[in-house]
Amino acid sequence: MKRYTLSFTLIFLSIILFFILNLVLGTISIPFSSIWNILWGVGEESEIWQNIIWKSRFPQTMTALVAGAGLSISGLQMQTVFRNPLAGPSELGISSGASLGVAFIILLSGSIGGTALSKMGLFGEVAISMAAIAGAMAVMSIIIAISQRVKGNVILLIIGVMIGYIATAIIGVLKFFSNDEDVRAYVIWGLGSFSKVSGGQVYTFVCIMLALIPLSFLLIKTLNLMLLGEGYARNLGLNIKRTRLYVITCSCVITAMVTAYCGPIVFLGLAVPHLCRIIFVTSDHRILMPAVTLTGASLALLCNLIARMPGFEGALPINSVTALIGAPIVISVLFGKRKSELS
Amino acid sequence: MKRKQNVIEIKDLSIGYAIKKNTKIVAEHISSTIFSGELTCLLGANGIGKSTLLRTLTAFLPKLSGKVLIQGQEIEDYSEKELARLIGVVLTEKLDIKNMTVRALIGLGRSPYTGFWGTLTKEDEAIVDHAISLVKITNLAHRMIHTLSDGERQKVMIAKALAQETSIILLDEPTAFLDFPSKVEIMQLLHQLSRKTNKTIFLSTHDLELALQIADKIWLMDKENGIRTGTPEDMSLNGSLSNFFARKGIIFDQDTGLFRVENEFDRQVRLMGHGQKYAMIRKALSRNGIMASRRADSNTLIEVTDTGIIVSGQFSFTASTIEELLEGLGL
Repeated sequence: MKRYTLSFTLIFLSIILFFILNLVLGTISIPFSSIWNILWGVGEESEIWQNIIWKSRFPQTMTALVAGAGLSISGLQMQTVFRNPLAGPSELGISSGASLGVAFIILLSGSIGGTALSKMGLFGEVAISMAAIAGAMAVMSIIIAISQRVKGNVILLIIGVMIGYIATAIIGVLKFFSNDEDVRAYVIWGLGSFSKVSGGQVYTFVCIMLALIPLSFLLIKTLNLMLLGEGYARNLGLNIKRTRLYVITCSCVITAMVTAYCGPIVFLGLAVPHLCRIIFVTSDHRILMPAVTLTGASLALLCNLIARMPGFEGALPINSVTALIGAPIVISVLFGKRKSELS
Repeated sequence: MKRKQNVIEIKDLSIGYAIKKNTKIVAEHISSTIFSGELTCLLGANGIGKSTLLRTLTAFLPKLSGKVLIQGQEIEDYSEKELARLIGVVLTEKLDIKNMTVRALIGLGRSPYTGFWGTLTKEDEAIVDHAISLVKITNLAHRMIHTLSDGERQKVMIAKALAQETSIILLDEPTAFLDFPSKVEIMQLLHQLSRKTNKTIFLSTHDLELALQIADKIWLMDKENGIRTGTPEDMSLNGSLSNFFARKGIIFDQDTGLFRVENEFDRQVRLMGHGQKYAMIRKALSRNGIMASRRADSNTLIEVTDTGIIVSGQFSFTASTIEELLEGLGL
């Protein structure tokens, strides 16, 4: 237990550090003491600074925090249930479903409605979120329906990938019929960002996620049994169909929410569980679940920080950063696999 | 001595797969009983339905008709939770777990008894320790599962089933893919466990010889006769075994109650001598299609002496090893 305590403490401290850095660093430099005053609502700080903190930096930081945690939990759940190290929120087609929903709204509104949705402000944002949720839910229902019928998890994963292809193909067709401006708006959404969630919405998002994350902790014993494979898990009293329904639903809802608010964020969900398995050297979800939650949050804060580094001025898309950090992790896992098998 | 109880009773059971309107019957009219405190081995050719029967007995697969009574109650009337405390399994499913210790895995066998988070109590830990010592894998307890050999992993899974504290343990081909010493070890372990713990242990296997020597009861499963059961000795006396494996190239030796490979002979030689060397030369010749005996009608004579093997007659030479003898005979 001791070795876990140290790792947990370090990760927790990194979250606090990155959280503060996310608030402090930016194009306009605000002294830490002023940020402290603004956060606690004391002292007389300039209104511009207050706006920067409350309307931009704080919401963005909170979004990154919960989105990172959520995606990582979702990834861990999928990797265990599908017993596949390459499973992740994007692999089941959930992200593709959300993208398809958004594509319908962004790309078709211009062609059919006459006005590009990207110019419609708040209403547009809400519409995009709703569309992403609807798209993700639609794919999720299909996946759950199929999961009740097909036996093999590999088949389910393949079906997920196929759904992803179909979604991408439809998006391609939609793009063809859309005007350049809408396509551009869609591409920007597709790059993913923690800053799109604006003031009021961010608290809705954070509240939803703070409700969903503890919910996924309820599945810890179930996930540990699933490690043994379906035969053994079933023999130990687990109802496999129901378990798959619960875990996939939980994982899908989290992914759908994050994708709706932040766009499709790649790699975090795939890479963080692997990273935690390396750090904690365990398969026990009683350790892994809190570990991925904290590590995911920490890594997302770090990615957000890098994306906003002076020089990039927020121009660096978050997906580029997560991929640049995530891909080496995935590769090192695949390389390291043989070593750990021998040890 | 605890009394043997008929723990599993099967009455006119039909097993198979019901997929929509197509019902594929794998085997039918199976009636038999499995007793506690005994090791029962299920034997049969590939594809005959051994796994289907095991899957039916573990309630993984619904039966088509008939009755499966476990401790007097129909198997379908048990809930999943009750079954988890009644039947433990060892499957052919390959484990693909990284970074889990043997102890942690055996601890998962306690899941039907643990609380919401699956945390082991002191009592659970003691039961896990006991399971580990029964299977004699104390030295493996802190190893990672993925570093174990197939035989070691099989023992761990047996320990898991023991930690589950079920009165019945069903094993699907537990000796497959193991080297011969490990096969013997696993079978003997299971036999000892059935005696020590009075559990009902039922397994399917292809290791005929081992099953005939170690099992208390055997079940023979084939297409013509369905399932016949009994002690290996009764089965050999009533001819069930010799009928069962009546194939070319296999002889059931009524004297030893074991099988041996049948060789076809195309010539004979006279072989004189005694002891192990005599038996080994006879065996080597028999493999090469030569029937060797003391009274054979042949002009070749092989004499086994303390100094060497002296061949006279059609051939004439002295050999010091069996290999030289075979070479000299032009085999």
